[in-house]
Amino acid sequence: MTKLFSSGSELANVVVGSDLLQQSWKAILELANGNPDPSLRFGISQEGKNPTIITFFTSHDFAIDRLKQGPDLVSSSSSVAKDSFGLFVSLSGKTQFAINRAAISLFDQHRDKLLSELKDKINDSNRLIITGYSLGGSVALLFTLWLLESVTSRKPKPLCITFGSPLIGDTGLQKALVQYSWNSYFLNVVSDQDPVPKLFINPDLGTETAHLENGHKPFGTFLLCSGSGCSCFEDPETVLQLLVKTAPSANQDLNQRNGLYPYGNIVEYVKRKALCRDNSDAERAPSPFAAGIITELSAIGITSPQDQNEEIDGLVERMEKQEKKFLMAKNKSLISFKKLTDAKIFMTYLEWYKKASEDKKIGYYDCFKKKLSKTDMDVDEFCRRLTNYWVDMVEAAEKKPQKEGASFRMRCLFGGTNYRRMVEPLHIAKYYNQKGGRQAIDYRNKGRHRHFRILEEWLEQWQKEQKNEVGSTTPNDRKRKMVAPSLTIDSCFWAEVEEAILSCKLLNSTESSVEEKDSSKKDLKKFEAYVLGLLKAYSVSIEIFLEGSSFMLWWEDYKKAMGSSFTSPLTNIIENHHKRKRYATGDL
Amino acid sequence: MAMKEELIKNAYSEAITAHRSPDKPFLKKSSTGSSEVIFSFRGSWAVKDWYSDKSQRPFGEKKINLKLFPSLRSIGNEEAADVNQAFEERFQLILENPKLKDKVQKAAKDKKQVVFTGHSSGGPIAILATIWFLEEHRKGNIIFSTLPLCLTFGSPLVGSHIFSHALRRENWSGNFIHFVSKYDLIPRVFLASLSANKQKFEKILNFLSQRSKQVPLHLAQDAQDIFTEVMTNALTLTSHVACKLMESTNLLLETVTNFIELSPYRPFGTYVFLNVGGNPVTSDNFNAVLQLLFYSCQPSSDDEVLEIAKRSLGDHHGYESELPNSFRGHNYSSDKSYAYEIDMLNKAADAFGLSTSGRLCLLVAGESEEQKKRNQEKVKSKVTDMERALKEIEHYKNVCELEKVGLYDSFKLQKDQKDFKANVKRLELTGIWDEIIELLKGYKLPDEFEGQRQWIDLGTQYRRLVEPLDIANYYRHLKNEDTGPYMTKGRPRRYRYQQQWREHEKKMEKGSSGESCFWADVEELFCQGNEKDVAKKIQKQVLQWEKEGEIGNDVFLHNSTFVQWWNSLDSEIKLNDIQPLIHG
Repeated sequence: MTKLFSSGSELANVVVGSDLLQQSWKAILELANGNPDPSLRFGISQEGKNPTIITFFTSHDFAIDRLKQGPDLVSSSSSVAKDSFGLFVSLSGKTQFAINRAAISLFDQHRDKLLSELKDKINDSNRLIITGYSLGGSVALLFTLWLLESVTSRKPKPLCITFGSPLIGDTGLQKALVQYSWNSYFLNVVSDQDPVPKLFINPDLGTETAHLENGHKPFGTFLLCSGSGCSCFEDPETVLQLLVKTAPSANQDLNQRNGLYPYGNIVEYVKRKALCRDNSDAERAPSPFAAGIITELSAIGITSPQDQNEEIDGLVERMEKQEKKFLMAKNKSLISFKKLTDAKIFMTYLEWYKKASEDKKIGYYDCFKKKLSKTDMDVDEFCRRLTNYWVDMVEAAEKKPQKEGASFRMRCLFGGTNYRRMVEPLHIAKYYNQKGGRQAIDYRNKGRHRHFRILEEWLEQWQKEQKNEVGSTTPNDRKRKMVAPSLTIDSCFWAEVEEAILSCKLLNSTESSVEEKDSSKKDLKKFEAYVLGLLKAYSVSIEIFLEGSSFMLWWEDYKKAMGSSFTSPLTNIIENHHKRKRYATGDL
Repeated sequence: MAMKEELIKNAYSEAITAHRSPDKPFLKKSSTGSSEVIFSFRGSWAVKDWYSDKSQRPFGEKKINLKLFPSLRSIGNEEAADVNQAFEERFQLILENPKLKDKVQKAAKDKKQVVFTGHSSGGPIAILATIWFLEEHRKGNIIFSTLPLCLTFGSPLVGSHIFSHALRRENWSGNFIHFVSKYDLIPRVFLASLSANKQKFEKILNFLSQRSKQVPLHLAQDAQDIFTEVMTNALTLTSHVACKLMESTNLLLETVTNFIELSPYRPFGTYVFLNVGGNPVTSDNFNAVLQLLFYSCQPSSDDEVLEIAKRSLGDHHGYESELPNSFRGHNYSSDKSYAYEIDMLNKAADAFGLSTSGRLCLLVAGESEEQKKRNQEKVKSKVTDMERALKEIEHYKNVCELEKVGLYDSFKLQKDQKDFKANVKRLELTGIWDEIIELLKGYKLPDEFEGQRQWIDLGTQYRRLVEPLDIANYYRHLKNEDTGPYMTKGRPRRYRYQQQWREHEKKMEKGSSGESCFWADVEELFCQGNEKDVAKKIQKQVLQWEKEGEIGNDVFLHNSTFVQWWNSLDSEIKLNDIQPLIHG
């Protein structure tokens, strides 16, 4: 859509109009008024068709006490953290992040009890809400993170609702959650008068210095409530700014709270408010987006008298930029449709190129290597664009969290394997053309682009899984019939051929030493065995037998080097034309 | 369409009269000298006629009976409309009585304008009757010189968004006009689920059946409760729809949606909002109407709630006084430009005195329809590319035939450069069509799209030329061994969509327009063995298609896969009519 809209008010209406907040708060009240355990309390409840609710609660005094003891952030890379962060495998594996000390230590303290008691009860496919008040909310957040890590196949996804909870993570955590799209499971309900959520924010943070990377940062969606209503905000910098702006004089009285902060009443109040007309004045807003933001701001009590106009404009600009960034990311997936079609078309061109090269009796590897005609140049371009496409795909798959990435990888597997087998030989040709020279260049370890290796690993993993199920390794009939049009299964085959050619050269050259000649002979014997193995498994394309191919040229050199009386099992197959024909029809 | 004052007044009075005749399922009124015949249906004030006893669903909905209403679905997406079960049941009962059909038949023969009308829960019956007779007209069972009209007053919602989608596609949407009073609760009642509050709802219905305009004191609290319940649910629903239209990037919306029940019902056709304090407000944008249903009666503050709640019940019988205003200053302009639409929505917002949120929601409803049109323009711009590519494949087909190897087999062998070029064209066309299908899946193209001749024809032409190539490619790579038979596991969605468009337009049996994909069946029989019935069926169909010119002669070339398969059949299965067609 060409016009941009801000939907914070509408999202807030959806949340507030449902009874999710009431349900969660009711569960918290029950826990609060129940067993008077002074430390962390937790419980699990489920009625009829309602979702299962897991609740965490700490009393206000306990929370303040703990938060004062541990106001700093513990980094995932610190030695202390190894044990406690061990649960968050996906996250700590990929990025560095930090969690508030009070939160993580409380979670740690009760971890075993929590996991053992709660884990079994949430195995079914019922909808799940995890909720908590104050520091209990922080534990709820961590518990949800653990759940997302360990039970990723669970559908439907859980929803985590916190009331009046302090910030617990840093920028690293927030960015990791966005990357995995996990921040879509967190809703933080915050009243503008409640001091606890604002504890770790430096109130001097103006709009400019808000980009300090080291402090506590929010994640997930915030439902900010005030006397004028409520609205939802997602961008962390915006949330920080608004938390500071709203009711800034309320950060005293931390020690004077006796009961719960009255979120139950607040939720009822904003619901009634949402039902009625809002009174924001957005007549002079320059765009629907700006009008939306003005409405959201006025719902949390920030209206625009003259002197505040600049700040609000600044806020509007920031939020607009943020939305546009999100939208661009979404649009990227639409463009990929075209890229997919282009990729398929390039593969078709390459298939045709391969066929045309066979007609020339050379084989496409060598055609490309020698760059004889203009077509070979064009193929370079296709090769480059296909490579770009697949590098992006592999990167995208890696960015996804463990188990969600697995299904993405499955879908790419066959296309990716086809691509690898067709295109990697071309990369190999280029590489050896560039390097030339005497020494062993070792494409596999030194020249090979990362994404090829990863594609190969995916295939091996999948095959391992298949073997566990099926258990057979003999080439089946179908494979035999397909030997003629198929691609060589090992995409690094030609690299081995090039290395063998170099070894041969070493053997034949008068300048090399005896040790070099010996090691060359050993390498060549290994290569022979390798090729024999491939032939027996019918996993090499017959184009290697074409007259002009590098493989046949190596064979000639090798025979020369080894002497006229040289025979080996390979000689049988290659020299004997009949046997070659039979390989082509799968009858060796 | 210009509405005659007389007609609206008469329709309303008939609708009310119907209420007063509980023993008659419908009334018919035709005055001498007038060219209209009005059929009116009475409502019911029993809760079971609003929330069916047989339904377990919170909103009382079920999938529509496609035998009665075959057009009420999204064709390609294969999504049937939801309909209120109680209303459908009541309608079916009335339909069983042949009197209605006979009288409508007679009116049609006399070339009269047939009008169906109803007030309150008589409205849904009128709606379903109108759709049913339109379907009959479409099938050719009844011939109307002018299509029947449907006028409802204070009618509750009847079906899901597919109603709006399908009626627009068939060009029937303009025949439905719904009159809604600004505060009337009944048109909004199905935005919420009252099945948990049946007792309170029953009291309300009871009150409404007495046709009083003043809510007594003892009912005030119930009225307020029901009103608040309905409006709260409406708030959640309209905000959810607005979020989606605004293309909200906040994924929390998805998570939360899993935990709440949203009403499936949506408005359709043209809505006329009365009692707005000036000229009535009209809209045929179903998203805009949905937003208006909430925002138009939104209280300004807590204090107003009770008053509005009382009016929401009292106004249900207050149409008579408002109707004379409904035709003043109204022009049903056919100018559907962007500027005009936005202007109308702004005027509506002003007339209702909507809040900023309300205005924004209306605006996004307008923008969303505009975007659909823009998407269509983008798709249209690809038509020349498409036609060019199709011509090239047509040329390829001719060349193949000249060389005595058919399109299908030549492509499967991939021997020459011409086969390779055809492959590239095939992939280009695939890209274009897959984008279109993606838009259709998300309802991002105008509703009329799947019914438009241009697209049905282009789709059929593409399918006939290119699907054989896709099938050849599939079997050439032996994908059937990896994945399964083409028809069940490998067939791309775009072909299914195009086939169904044609079948719906020509009213053919589902699955019968298979002239592009019989190659797949042949391949499967060739591999897996010849099942007698299937083999016979294919031969018969092929003969039929040949006769109607829907498949080319290249199918019967001597070397084609089809002929080879046919030759391999046992004599008892072989149909010898095919023999004379073989050539080359």
